[in-house]
Amino acid sequence: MLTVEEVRDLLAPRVVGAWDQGGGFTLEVVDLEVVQRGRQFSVYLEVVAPDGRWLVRCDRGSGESHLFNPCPPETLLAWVATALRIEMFEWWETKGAERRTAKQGVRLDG
Amino acid sequence: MTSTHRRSTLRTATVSVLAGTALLAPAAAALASAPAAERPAAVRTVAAKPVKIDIGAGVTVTVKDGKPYYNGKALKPGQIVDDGIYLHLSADGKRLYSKTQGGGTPYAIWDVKTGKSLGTQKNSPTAPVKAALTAKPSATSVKAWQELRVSGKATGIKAGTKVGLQQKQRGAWKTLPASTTVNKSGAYSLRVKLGLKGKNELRIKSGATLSPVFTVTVR
Repeated sequence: MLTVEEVRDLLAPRVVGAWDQGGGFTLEVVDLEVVQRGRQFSVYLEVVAPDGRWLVRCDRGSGESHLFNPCPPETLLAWVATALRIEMFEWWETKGAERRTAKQGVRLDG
Repeated sequence: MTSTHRRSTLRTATVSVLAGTALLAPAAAALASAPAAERPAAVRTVAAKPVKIDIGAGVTVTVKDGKPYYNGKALKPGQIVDDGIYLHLSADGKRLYSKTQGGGTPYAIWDVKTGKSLGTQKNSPTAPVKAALTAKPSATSVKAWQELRVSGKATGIKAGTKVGLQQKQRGAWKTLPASTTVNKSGAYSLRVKLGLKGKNELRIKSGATLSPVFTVTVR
């Protein structure tokens, strides 16, 4: 089993960076942390958004816990990275209207 | 207050006459132009004429003052009587449903005001409607993050109920942060942006009710 730090290091090159969805703004992931809870895990993304710095929690399902296997498949790593980026934009687009996504983000700069 | 009541009663009386009580017609016509002081007595005469609904099996429901009476008791809006004879007065008190025989015989529908038949229906008017959702995307192929609309109808689901969007991700259904509420006519419309490229399998969910799966391709 991989540790949360090892999974974090596998995901970091695929997730950290500035992401543009073509809407005239970028969301930049500057850091991430993986927290395991039983068969599920959460990824906390530190995001620089147009309105400041945020910590965004993305819960991942048990189906993606294979990421903790000694040699996680490349396709799964790519999928989780894509899903995290998509969820980050979902959070950004809907945090003003959806209570559930509003709860995902915590402002870091006051 | 009193004068309003009188006018209202008079209007009811005039309608009854127009509905076909030929004998009373001249009196009512005269009433319409009669001085206010003479109205009450004449109005009482016309309003007292009850509507009778022959629902079959020798049973007649009498309508007095807009209320249907069965076995001497007024039916309340929404009430169901099922003592061998099935009767149901609609929630607005305007339609009476009856069924005098068992089996697959249809339910007769009556207009309470006129006593006229409005036809029949197969299903019980008080049977719970099975909840169902339909869903249709405004486009079946969109660019990544391009907005589309998903709209549809909800039946058996209360107005104001939340409906959400689900997406199939690697074999599992995930609820997306997109939701709206069902309006009074049972319709809903949801603005959606999708970022997962390829064929997206989507469905609408409201409680335990699911719409059929539809697909939107993101290019």
